[in-house]
Amino acid sequence: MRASRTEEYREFAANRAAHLYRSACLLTSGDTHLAEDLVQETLGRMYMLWGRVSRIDNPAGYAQTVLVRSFLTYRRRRSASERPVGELPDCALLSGDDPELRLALLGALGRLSPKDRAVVVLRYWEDRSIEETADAMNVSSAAVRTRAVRALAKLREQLGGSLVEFAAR
Amino acid sequence: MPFEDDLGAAMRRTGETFGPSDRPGLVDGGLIRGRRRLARRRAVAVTGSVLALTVVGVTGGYTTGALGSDGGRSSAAASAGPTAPASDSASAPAEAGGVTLKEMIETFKGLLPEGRTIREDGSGITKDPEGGLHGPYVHLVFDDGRGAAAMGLGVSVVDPTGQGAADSVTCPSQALMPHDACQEETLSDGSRYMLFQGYEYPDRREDTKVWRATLVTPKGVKVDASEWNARAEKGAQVSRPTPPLMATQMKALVTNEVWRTIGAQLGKPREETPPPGRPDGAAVNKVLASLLPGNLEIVDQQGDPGYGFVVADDGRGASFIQVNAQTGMADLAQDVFAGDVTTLPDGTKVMVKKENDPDQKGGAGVVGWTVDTLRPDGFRVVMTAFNAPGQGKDASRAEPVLSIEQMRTVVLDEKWRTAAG
Repeated sequence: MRASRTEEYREFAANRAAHLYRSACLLTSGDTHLAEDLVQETLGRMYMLWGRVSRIDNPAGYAQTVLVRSFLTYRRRRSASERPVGELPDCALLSGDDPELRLALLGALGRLSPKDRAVVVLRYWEDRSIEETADAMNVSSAAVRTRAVRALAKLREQLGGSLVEFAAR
Repeated sequence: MPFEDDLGAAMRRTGETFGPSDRPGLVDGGLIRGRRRLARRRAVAVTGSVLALTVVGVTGGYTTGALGSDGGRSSAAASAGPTAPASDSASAPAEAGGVTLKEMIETFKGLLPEGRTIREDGSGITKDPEGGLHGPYVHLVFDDGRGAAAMGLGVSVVDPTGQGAADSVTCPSQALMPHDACQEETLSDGSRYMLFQGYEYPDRREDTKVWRATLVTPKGVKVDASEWNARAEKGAQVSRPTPPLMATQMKALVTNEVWRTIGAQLGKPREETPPPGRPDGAAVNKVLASLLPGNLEIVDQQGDPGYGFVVADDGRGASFIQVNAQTGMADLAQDVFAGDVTTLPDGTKVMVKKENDPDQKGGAGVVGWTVDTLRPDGFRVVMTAFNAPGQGKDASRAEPVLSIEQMRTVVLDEKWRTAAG
């Protein structure tokens, strides 16, 4: 890759790394080590595409899609060693946040299946439409709808009133 | 407020609490992975750190060469060393304090035997805009009276327990990189040391010799010196029979205390965390060895994540066999899987090729047979078997030790899923 393209890529990567990392932390329900790995994997894949990136309308959005796909691929490969439900990985707490909300939400996300979690992250963190979510996950819109309904029901059951409480703070 | 809205707000509030502790590390890590991926994709089978020696040069700076390490960069935000006066010869960007280029050159020259230097360049410790420190290096053309020779030395920090450190002091296999001699040793202070004596081009298309001494201390300071028997690494005529410093002199050079002091200015090395779920370097050749017919004796093997080779002998001559197992290769379906491709009922594409010297390494009479497979989910296993005992070596038998049918059976085995890089 030409030096100027590499510089462009570096700039892109530096600008996107933090947001990708936050998305990855939600996808992994707080496993920051895995999140770092997924971000590097995503940026690595974006590097490969960089020569063609002018043909990608929205590289930042595409990187998010790559992140979700990398996460799902990783989950497929690691399904045998899935983390036991309810065990929360270490996550460094920043000051000023809501530790209870954070724990409750990450815990509830962690109890969803990886695909359901990906749907939730794309829909409610990335604000993607059903169709865009389906596109990113390579599944049908109907499948996304089914997953979204199921995931929301589970989250409502676990978080229900506490979200309203937090939202009111 | 509908539950979805509350959820969205809660996710944003939670998401925003995560901040990467090491953003430059993520960017660098992505770049390294991207470059490896690109290299892997371009070739049918290429190696990473098992061939690390070939990719470390002097002119590009030691800081960018070492595969498997974090590129020689330190995560320390500022150097702890004394601030030296700015070097007047330094053209390096953003000097970061600590050793300057001028001091590097003087220190290096001070450790060489008598002679004159014809060219000198390099860099002191530099800092990139993200605060990462790059180790210093120096490159000279030096003449002790018996012919001008390129020489270089770089100091960086690596995780002493990491794969990158281990790779840099591990002799390459003769099957991959023919060389005259290579020794590894652990010194009394726990430092690991390697002296490699081989060729700039292992296939000897130019006769330039490169001798390389690498030291990794228990604290992770890496000192890496190379010398050639020509004025330049590549493309210059050989000027003398061997490089200027003998083996013992190379060892004395890299083990000199001064480099450790300079290395300490780079701060602590960034910890190398093996990516979770990624198999170690031995995974591919372990799987490969387990799938080969029992009548073969494995005489050599080595591997990287996603790559491995064995040299196998059925009693009638050794055969070099290499494999890549890669995920995310779905887009090769169009570019690479063209021509003689069959598609299995499960959608797996299989391509078979019989070629003369497919890697173009120049061994006489070499043929290589390749079976390349691409599963519908983008998982690829590709194997090439040669009728020669190593890359660039002459044919040792008429055909590879495996038949195409045997190769197909091996590469289509589901065990490869555990070894993808």
